[in-house]
Amino acid sequence: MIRAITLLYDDGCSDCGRHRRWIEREPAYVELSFLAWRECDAPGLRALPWRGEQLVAVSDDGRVWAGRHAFAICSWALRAYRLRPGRFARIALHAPCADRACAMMPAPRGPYR
Amino acid sequence: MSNLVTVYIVYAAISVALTVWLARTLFTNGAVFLRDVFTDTPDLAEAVNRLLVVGFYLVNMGYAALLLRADPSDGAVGAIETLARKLGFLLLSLAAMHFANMFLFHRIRRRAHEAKLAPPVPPNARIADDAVSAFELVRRHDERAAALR
Repeated sequence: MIRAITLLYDDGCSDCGRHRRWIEREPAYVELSFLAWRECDAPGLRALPWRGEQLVAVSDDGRVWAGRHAFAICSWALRAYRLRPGRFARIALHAPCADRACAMMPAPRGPYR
Repeated sequence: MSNLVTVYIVYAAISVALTVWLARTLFTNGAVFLRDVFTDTPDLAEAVNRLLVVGFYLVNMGYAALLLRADPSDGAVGAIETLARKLGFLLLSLAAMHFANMFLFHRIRRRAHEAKLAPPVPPNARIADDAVSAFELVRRHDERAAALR
């Protein structure tokens, strides 16, 4: 049972910050917190290969999602979008930050597709 | 005039009977939905169910009472027509109320179900006791993906 999720993002990009503020305003099923990659010093997180390049979600039980998967987890965490990931993607990506948001969410790595 | 009194009496009897029957149906069948939602607190399920039924009674009885008034009509045929019009209107209103109630139950249940859903995608890595394990996991995934290409 996941109770909290930390989102690691790039605070150098203003659109990502706008994204963050939008997500923070939405009612959520789990406690969401944000952490900028450059402020992230925990050894467990520093070792992650997506450091600074992709959006990463880390749950309180140690699961890590990166890129599109992290994006899907954001949708899952929000009350209004848990069953409507398509709507989440439309709203989140049609914001003025579409390009940068996509840059933060490249194709999933490895065998997950 | 006596026709109108008959219409009123029959209308009142039928509308009260219908409301009671519908409310009881709602109560017994709604309990199943609510027990499913409030699994940890059966008392709360019972309370919500009773309160919903009380609301149902109030709205329907009040509405039926407001619909009672009719203009006097001639003969038995007129009386039957008036009665049929009134009952038809009442039945349609009750149906609307009933479906609204069912929708409410459905929503309450869906909300509860939604909150329990597991994450839609498997994690790409895990942070275990040491940081190396997460990194290792990702490296192995990458190797497997490269082998598949």
